[in-house]
Amino acid sequence: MSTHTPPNDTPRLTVSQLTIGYPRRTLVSNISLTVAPGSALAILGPNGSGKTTLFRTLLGLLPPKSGRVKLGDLDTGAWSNRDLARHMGYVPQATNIFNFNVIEIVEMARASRLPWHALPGKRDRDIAMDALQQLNMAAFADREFAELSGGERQLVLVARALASEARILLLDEPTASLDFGNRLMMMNTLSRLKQSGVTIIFSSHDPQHAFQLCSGPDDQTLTINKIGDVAVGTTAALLTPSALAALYQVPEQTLPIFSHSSRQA
Amino acid sequence: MLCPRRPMSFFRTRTTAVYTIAIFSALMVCLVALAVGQFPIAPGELIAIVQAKIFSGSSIAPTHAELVVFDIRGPRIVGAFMVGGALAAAGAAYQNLFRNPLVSPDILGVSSGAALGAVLGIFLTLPLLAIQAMAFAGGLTAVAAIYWVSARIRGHDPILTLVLAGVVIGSLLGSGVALTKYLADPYNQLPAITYWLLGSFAGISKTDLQVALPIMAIALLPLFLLRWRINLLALPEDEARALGVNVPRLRLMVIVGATLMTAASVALCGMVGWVGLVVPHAVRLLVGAEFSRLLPLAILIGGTFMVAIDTIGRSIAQIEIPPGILTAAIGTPVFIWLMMLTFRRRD
Repeated sequence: MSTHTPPNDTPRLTVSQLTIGYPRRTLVSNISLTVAPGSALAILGPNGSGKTTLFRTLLGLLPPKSGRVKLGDLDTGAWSNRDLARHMGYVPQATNIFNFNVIEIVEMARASRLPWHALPGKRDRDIAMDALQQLNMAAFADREFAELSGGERQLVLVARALASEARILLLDEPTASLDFGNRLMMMNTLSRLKQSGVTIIFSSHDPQHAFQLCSGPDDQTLTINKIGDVAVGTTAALLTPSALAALYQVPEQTLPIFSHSSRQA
Repeated sequence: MLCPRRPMSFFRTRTTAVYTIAIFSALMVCLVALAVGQFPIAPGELIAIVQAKIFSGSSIAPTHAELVVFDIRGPRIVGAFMVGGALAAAGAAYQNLFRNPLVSPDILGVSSGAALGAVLGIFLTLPLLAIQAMAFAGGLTAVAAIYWVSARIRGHDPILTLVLAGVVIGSLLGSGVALTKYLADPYNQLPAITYWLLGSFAGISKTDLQVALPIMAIALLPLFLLRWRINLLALPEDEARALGVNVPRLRLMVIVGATLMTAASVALCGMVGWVGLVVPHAVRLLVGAEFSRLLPLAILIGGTFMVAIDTIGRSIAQIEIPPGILTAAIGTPVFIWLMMLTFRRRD
């Protein structure tokens, strides 16, 4: 594991009566939940249900339409970008960034730890390499980011979030562009990170991922359906076959059987 | 997992190699620039003059050659180097800021604003210093106006609103230049305007440099201090903010630095296109996009290129060829060659 484990002072993320959306469009109303340090939260919902908007709101990138998002005792809007970034690491859906190589992109995560005029030094390079190592991506350090496959890019973006030493990771569909093998690898990596005390908030299109990562006593699943209704609860209680059938608007008989897989790498 | 295509050390040595060659070329080009021209100076004599200056100070009765080296060609070479370096640095910063390699320092209207200022100065037959001051002020005013307009428009992609405001206000300034040319006296003012718009290093004096050098140094300071953090502007805005960067503030600091440098350049020597667009691009092909590696090399290569262009412009023909014409004529084949070389190596 990481040789530079930061002190475990992860604040609690509290969401109360939250409504998210844009000035002329409300997407989801009335979200309330608390994410305990070290727990996992899965966010499930069909395309266009507002999962990415929820991430943007949790990260303080988009102001809530009403309600509050608090990290520790302060609203996320009251934190500076810099302090927020030290606690919350964001893994967006795959983006493309031209002309930079992998290690340079991972090192960018050090921005929240360095003075405004500083360049990353040896320690920062070590932390970045260590993060790549954790995702088996160290061999790619000097490759150009744009040359990588979608799955490899996704892993690099996770490494970047780790390199900020944030203890809360928010991952927007981390498995979306991955093949079967890399998907397994990603989920194993996330459960390994969770075991090391990292708080994981992720969205997925696969209910199996919620069962896999969010089956502990503190873990939760949040579902948003097509019309913006929200439900929060333990994964087993929330993701019953009838609830899943309703969420994705499919006949119950067509659902596969989901298991509480606890196999880990 | 796949093997890395390039070993770690390759990048470091490659960057060092590129820097070494660039510094050597800069020195050679400047020496040649001192020697050639209407009054050629033999290499031996040039070395003797420079040595005498360094070891025994200025002579009481300078020779013809000394005057040429220190009062005419010297300031001109320093000026050309500064302008080339400043335009390349500003172009590199803007290309990063706009996440677009096709952006030049003119994107936010600094050149069109400076052009209108200078052209108005010529039209009103103001003295040279006032024309330069008007060019500088015009450039800054144009960018301030464009920034102000884009800041008024909220809720949209700020980069897009900046570009759009730049395009519309830039064309408004362009029509102002056209109107002034149309109204100008076609025998005296119009040639002066045309000449100014093509750019020239011929008139650069020591006094010009004493004003321009501090402005450029001050403008370079924020870009230099932020040279690593500027990289994060290449990311989508959400990502950069989530990584802890105050994006609007960083963007404003880059705009202020790049604008001051470009405005000072345009005020010093008129409009010289192409360098700010293509030199950063060429440097990126050589050492990648990482800005702290890119910035010094862009300045070095931009400056060297400008001195080379100016030297060729004043020595190949009886009349001086304006740098605005030669930059593209010489730069285009060089750039195509570089592009072919780089892409072939990557395959």
